[in-house]
Amino acid sequence: MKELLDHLCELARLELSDDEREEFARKFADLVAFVDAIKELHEQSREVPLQIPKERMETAPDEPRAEPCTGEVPRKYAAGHIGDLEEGEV
Amino acid sequence: MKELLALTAHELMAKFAAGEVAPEEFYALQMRFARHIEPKVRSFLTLAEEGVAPPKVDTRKGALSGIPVSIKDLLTTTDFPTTAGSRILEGYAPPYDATAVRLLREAGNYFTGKTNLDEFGMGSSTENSAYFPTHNPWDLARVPGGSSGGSASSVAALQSVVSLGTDTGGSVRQPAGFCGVVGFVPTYGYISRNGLIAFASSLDHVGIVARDVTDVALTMNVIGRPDRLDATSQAPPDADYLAAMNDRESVGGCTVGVINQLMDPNLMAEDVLVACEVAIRVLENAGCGVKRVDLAGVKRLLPCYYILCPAEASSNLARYDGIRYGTGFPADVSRTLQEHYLAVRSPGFGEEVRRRILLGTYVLSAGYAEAYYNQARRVRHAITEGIADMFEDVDFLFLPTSPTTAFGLGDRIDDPVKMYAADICTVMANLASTPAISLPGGLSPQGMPVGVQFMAPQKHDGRLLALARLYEKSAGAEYSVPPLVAEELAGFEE
Repeated sequence: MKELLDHLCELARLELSDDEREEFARKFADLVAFVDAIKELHEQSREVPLQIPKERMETAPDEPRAEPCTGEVPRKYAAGHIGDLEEGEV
Repeated sequence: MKELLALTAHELMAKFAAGEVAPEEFYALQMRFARHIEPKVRSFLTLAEEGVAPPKVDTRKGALSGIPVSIKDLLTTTDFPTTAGSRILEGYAPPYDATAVRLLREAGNYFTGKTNLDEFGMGSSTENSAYFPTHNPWDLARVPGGSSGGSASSVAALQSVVSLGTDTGGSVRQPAGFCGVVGFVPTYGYISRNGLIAFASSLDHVGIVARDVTDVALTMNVIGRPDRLDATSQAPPDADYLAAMNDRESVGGCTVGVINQLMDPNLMAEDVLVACEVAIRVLENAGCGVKRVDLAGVKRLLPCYYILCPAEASSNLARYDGIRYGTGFPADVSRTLQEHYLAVRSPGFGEEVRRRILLGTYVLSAGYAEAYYNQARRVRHAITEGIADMFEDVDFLFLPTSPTTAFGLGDRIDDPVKMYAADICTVMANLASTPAISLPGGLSPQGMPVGVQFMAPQKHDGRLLALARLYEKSAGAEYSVPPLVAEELAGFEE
């Protein structure tokens, strides 16, 4: 449970103090057991559009650029898709 | 004049119209008593400032003009800070009013302040507020319910006439039941969620706490309107909820289904069941047919809810990063981004919020989403279908509001699973997006209010109010002032 909690904290950008870790882990384990009841239900036949794909979708690999980052947003990203703001068009 | 404080909104409107009391005069009285009793019940995170001249109100605007309303601190307001009961939004001043707040403001309502809540609406007792717990006006050693506990206690303790709450899994109805007032949650999309700080968006509703059903209908006539700022808004533009409530014929000879599984002595306390059986006899005597019906898989309601709700919460609460607003803003640029997130989020969220964020992260994470999140969505779909099937046989459903009356402060706070069990009767309406209302169902032998609940099919809100009014009238379920509040009122010097 400790390793799982550490992993979840990293994903959720949270931190648990050493003092609260043990008690938190105990209560969290109770909750996981509580929601585990959902697995025993037989609803597989229901056709509900799934929002989370069963298979993990891999994202495109990072492509480091040779040129240094200027800190400025390229114009095509800054204004390319939102119309001409000076004309009041969106 | 202090006797006016226990009146309903429509009774007060009649007094205003007859010139017996001016709205601004009543508002000043309301605020003085709200301050007088506040140290006992602690309903408010922010009370309207003392000595500030009340705004000019045009009482000819109709509906609820001039009535003092309190607002749960999960709805944005431009004239009060909005904290969501959380340290992470301490002192946050929103730049806009929630649509429901704006509509009340435009209708000429006074605001008494922002009411206490469980942080971000996560809880059933108001003990999860990052600031302080609220006390039940019927017994100060007990909780007022939650998460809209401050809203319910403010109406019961004569600190406001009506209150806006929010209801994601029973957060308006359960505290209303615990405090002996009326709590209504409409069909999803009938009150705009614009300005409601998101917790679980597919389940979140704005709801109404009031002293009787007529006040609920009047409030719906003001705020139950379509809103282009909420993509899920689907309220009919010209609905008249007061007229619908008074349409006795719309519920003549109706059939009310009593859900057997939620009248189970193993799940419900005896005093709750006794009050429910009395309510059922009242319905029969009022000419309603009563049919006992079965809802398959009641035990799946809570696991389903407690998967979907944290999943949505973990996503919605990712925005609190201390970069754009709230605690940590403006960001300390000497830290890395990750250091900044941790420094803001970890102390900014309370224990229950962090627990739900982590549970939501767990059920959505790679390898677990199919077993939990996708499965819970299937179950929600099945529950919605099951309820729709039940409404083929009956016009309304009847069930308790909560398995018990208000429990003691501190009794459940260390046991989240036990706390979640308090939601068994209320999550169904949110999962199925149907309207539901909790009404006072008498007192337990210990003198605590018991709530009874009705549900109607989606978009039958007006008919639900008609049935609720029929029950209220037949049962003589008028609002009664809690004894502690009556004592305070007797000693209150105007």
